[in-house]
Amino acid sequence: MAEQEQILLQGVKNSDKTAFHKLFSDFHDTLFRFVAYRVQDADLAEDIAQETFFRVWRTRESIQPKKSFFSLIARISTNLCYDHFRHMEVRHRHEDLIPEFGKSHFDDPEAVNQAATLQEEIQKVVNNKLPDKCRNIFILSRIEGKSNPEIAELLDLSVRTVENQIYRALKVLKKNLKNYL
Amino acid sequence: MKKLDDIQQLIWERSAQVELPSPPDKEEVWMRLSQHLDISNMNTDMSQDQQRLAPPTQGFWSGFKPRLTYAVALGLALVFALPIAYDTLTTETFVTKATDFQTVQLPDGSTITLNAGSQIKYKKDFNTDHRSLTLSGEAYFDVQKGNTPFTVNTNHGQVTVLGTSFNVRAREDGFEVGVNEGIVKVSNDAKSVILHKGQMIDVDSQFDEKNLQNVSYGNYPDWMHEKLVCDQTPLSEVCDEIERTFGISFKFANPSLSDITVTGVIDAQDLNTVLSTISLLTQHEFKFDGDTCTIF
Repeated sequence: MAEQEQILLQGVKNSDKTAFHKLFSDFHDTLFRFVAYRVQDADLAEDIAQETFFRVWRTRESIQPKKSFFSLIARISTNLCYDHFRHMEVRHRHEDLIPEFGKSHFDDPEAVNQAATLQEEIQKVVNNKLPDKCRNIFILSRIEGKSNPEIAELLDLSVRTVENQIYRALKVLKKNLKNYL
Repeated sequence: MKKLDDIQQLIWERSAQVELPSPPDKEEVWMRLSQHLDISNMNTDMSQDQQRLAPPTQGFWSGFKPRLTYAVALGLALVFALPIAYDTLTTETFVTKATDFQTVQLPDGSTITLNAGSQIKYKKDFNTDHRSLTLSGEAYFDVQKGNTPFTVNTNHGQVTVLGTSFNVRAREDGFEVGVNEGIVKVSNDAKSVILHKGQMIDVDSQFDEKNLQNVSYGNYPDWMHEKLVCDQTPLSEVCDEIERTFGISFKFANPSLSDITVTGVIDAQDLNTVLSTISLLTQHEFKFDGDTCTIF
């Protein structure tokens, strides 16, 4: 699997569109859900996923075939998400609206009272409080239902790192969800 | 997985119950993407064609250009090499390997005790108009009072003080600052937080004041007193620390072992005591063959 990915990436580097189509088919749905978890909007997630693949192709010459492909598209899509949130924040600043992302909801007792489900709060903490690497691993584990060894292969990390990051994510979640539990 | 408590178990289960929109039809998306790709390919092809169509340069310049490039390359090489050369000439570095401890006396009279597997770097003009150094790993600082702020830079953030004693742990697996005396400011690009005597902060804190903790045991930091204090610490992390302190390596007969957490104070004066305490705390046997310890 990892070797095949490497061959495909080398193909993309050499402008082989068939190889790119194969990678696209393998990773599109996972990337879509990965982004959808962050932006909570199907159309936007579709746009970001498409733009991510487009950027991979545009910068194909600088691809390093030995590096994990999912790490690459996770990074590009994360940056695109940040760009989007920043854009939203600028738009909202003048309307006196608090941006959905990047701010903590947990200090405001009223917000706590109106608390939606625990699941939504988990999603907010994952999106706002976890470092990128930790968040990527946690989302893959929970949304894609991938096992720790699968994630380790996908992101080219050791299984122990994956386990530690998941444990750390749970620790942060527990700390931040004190008011809901 | 590691042993989870009830709350973590609840979060773990709930977090998988997100309802996400189903992905759009892959082939449709590919068709649209494919058109974009072709358009962008056409653009790059055209710019290459234009380059090809450009008249070839001839005469004086064609002979001179390579030499100009060499000169530019040489110039650039110098520009890049100079700061590195300057850096090595003006920087003082102290490194400790596994099993090593080292006490470093700084020009301003402050002392730093480096834990095993750590490194500090500072400029030779330290204490003239700055007291700034870089740490990776863990070290205990006893800072002389002075007018210039004393700054410890790490990958995780910055620690600033005027005169005090504190511990900084900036390893790959985490960041922690604890204060024994005085006041310390910890900051990263986004946030900063003030720590007083007896307080500590760790990597999960997001540098938020609400997440300050108290140093929960006397003799902080543990390694300065040849102790290893564990509070729900994953066995893998504990073993990493022992590997650094005693220069041995650990093997887990069963990968799930690394997920066990350890709580207790371990006397870290000699390896045998450490290993038997770990065995007692985790209720697992171990076998030690001189440099590798296998836990069953």
